[in-house]
Amino acid sequence: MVQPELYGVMDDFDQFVAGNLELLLRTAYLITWDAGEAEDLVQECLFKVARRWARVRRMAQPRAYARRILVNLALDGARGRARRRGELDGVSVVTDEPTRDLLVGLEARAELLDALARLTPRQRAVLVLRYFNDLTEAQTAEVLGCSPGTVKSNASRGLARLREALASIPNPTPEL
Amino acid sequence: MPDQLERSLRDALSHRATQLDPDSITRLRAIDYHARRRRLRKLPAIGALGATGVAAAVAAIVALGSSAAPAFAGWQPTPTTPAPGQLAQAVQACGQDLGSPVLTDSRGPYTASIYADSTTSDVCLSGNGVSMSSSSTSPAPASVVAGKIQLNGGGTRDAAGNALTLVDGRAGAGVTAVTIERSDGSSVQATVADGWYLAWWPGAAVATTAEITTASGTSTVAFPSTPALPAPACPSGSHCASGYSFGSSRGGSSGAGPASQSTMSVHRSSGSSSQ
Repeated sequence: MVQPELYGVMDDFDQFVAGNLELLLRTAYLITWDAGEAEDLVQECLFKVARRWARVRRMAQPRAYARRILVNLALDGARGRARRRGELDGVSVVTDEPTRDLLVGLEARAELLDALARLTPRQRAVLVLRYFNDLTEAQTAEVLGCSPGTVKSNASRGLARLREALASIPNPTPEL
Repeated sequence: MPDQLERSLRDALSHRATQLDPDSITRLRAIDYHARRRRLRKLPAIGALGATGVAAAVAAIVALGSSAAPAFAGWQPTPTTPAPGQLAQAVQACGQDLGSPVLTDSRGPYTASIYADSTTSDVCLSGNGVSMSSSSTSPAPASVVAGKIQLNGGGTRDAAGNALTLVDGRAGAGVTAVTIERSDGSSVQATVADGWYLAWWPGAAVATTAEITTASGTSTVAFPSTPALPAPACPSGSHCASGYSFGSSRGGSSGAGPASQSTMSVHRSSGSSSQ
């Protein structure tokens, strides 16, 4: 019976969306630093996953597949924006102003977010996948289609820039 | 052991993530990413053709931006030579993970490709700000009888009246050309390659017959009747479905192949994005 099988397939997809949409959206938001763009990316990602669901659902980790599509869409979009602005390297994304907490104890976090916003999308993607998605270097490399060594060097450069940003705070709080 | 900076980074990222507008999640949850698949249950074609043991159906999802360009400007009824970079753009639009296409059809700025493996087959169409995909949950037949073609396809339309129609499938050994005659009296030349064929056109004219050319001459086969789908309820700016769908015979293939179903989705970008 074709139709019940089709229904079963799509029920799987509904469950997949229910269980993964929020994480995908937050990941896209952290990479793009833009809520509207993140929403568009997740929508495009899920349409792509839906149309290949018959194949994707048989994968060991459909979430990893969706995340790879999402991150590639985000980075492809960032490259497109960079080309349009004539900035081929060292992209500084246009971002909304990071929240600056007035409480002294949160100043370092605000500096950190500010510095994150100034990273290239690829550097930010590495840090987001490693420290928000909790992926290993090898898993991050798989998502980005590069070697673990490249992930390591990108993460290292990104962390170095964050350290510089925190160093500019006169008296960072001990907690940070 | 994570150092202090890594801990701070995790904290900052988590904090930033919570600043997302909850409405974003609500909006994304409200989208039906596969609405038209369920509509397949209502298609008369499935029951009627399913009795033969071989059935295919196509449904559609259409999403058009408010500033969409005139529908399919530059489309050609005869396949054209792709412009430099056109095929690479098509691969990028369709997703490189699909592998290599078994057939690529270019018509002006548009590229349509068939991707197939042992379990599924997909058609992806892109160019000029439009992208469309049709995904089959069952494989195409491994082959059809020499000199014959598999008859399969469907169409879609959006709220603004933009429509496209597509036919595709396996072509038997010896088939060198396929010309699709349409319900409006005009014809479209299909691309034939490596045992596959594909043709598509703007508009809702349906395929009526296929003229198949082999070394020994030409033959004509009639497409199955094309039941119209119910009139679409397609609010402006929303995803919607319409068009028609028809099931297939295997064009004289030996034995009944597995039943199959497909979905088609179309997206027209509202700007000059990467579509």
